[in-house]
Amino acid sequence: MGKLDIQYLTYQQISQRAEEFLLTYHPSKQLPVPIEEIIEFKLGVDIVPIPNLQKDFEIEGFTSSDLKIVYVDQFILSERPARYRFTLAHEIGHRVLHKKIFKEIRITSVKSWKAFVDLADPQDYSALEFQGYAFGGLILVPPPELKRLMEKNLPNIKNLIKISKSRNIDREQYLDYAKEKIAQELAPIFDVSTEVIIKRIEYDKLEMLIP
Amino acid sequence: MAHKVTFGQFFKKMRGKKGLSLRRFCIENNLDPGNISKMERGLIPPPKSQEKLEQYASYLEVEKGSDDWYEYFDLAAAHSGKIPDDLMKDDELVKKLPLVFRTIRGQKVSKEKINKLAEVIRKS
Repeated sequence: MGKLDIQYLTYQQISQRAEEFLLTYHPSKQLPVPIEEIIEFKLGVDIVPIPNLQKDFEIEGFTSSDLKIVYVDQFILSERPARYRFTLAHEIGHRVLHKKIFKEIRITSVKSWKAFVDLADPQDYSALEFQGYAFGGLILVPPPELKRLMEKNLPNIKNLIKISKSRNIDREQYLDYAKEKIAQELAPIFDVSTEVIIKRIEYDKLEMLIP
Repeated sequence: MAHKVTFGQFFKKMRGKKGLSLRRFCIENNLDPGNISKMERGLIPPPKSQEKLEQYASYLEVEKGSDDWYEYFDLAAAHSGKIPDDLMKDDELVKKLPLVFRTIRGQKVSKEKINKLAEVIRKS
């Protein structure tokens, strides 16, 4: 089995694709982005819960090779809504960004699938997964909304920064705490975890807004 | 007369009309999302009891006596007697297998688990 024909996309290119996706499927830009409804009712993709997918296989979700189903761990679906939403958004990233690759890989039998999985290059997998991850974050936490809400929430950390500066604490030392505080405010608005917000702040280089 | 849609497809359409995602629909009505997903995809039959069917119809807010109400029960009746394939055949299974998936720790899935995963997908 040869290497996959992966197009290495920059973060800006993935961001552009995410913006186009939202313009098509969620033009109102209302938050949180209703990713589950977009998948089920606008894309016509079935969501299929699998019990113990994470426990038995350490897999949270995956897309079927015909792109018609997103399988997801049933516990995450029922009990971890933010993680569930991110898993869905990540999988839709594969559908949007990797449709061509999915179509080109011709798996004709269960045996050839097993050989494909066994021989797949881990670097190819990492590249595809990173792109899916980035796309997921970008559609659930769109850049303009993140910047706007971060600016709106900056006054909430004003006191923290003031105290830190009065005690001669370096910016580098309070920056993580400041990001965490902002992420705690924004995570419920976007309905994602604080980790996703922090990553998005970092990828969009919005740390520079924190004095 | 042959129906164009199956009970499961109609069920999902009604759920969509109400804008109820699978998760929300199941949580609000205390239903198992795995079973509802299987029923919608025709992998398990609609409930046999009238009471249960009516209960589901009320969850979908199908108005009693409406066209949708009759279609819902007609499709459920049309489904009775059909035995769903409880196991996906290999050519169908191939379309459902994942091409990209990564474990949480970023490790490859062992051959033993790969075999098991294919069987889990076959039954899902």
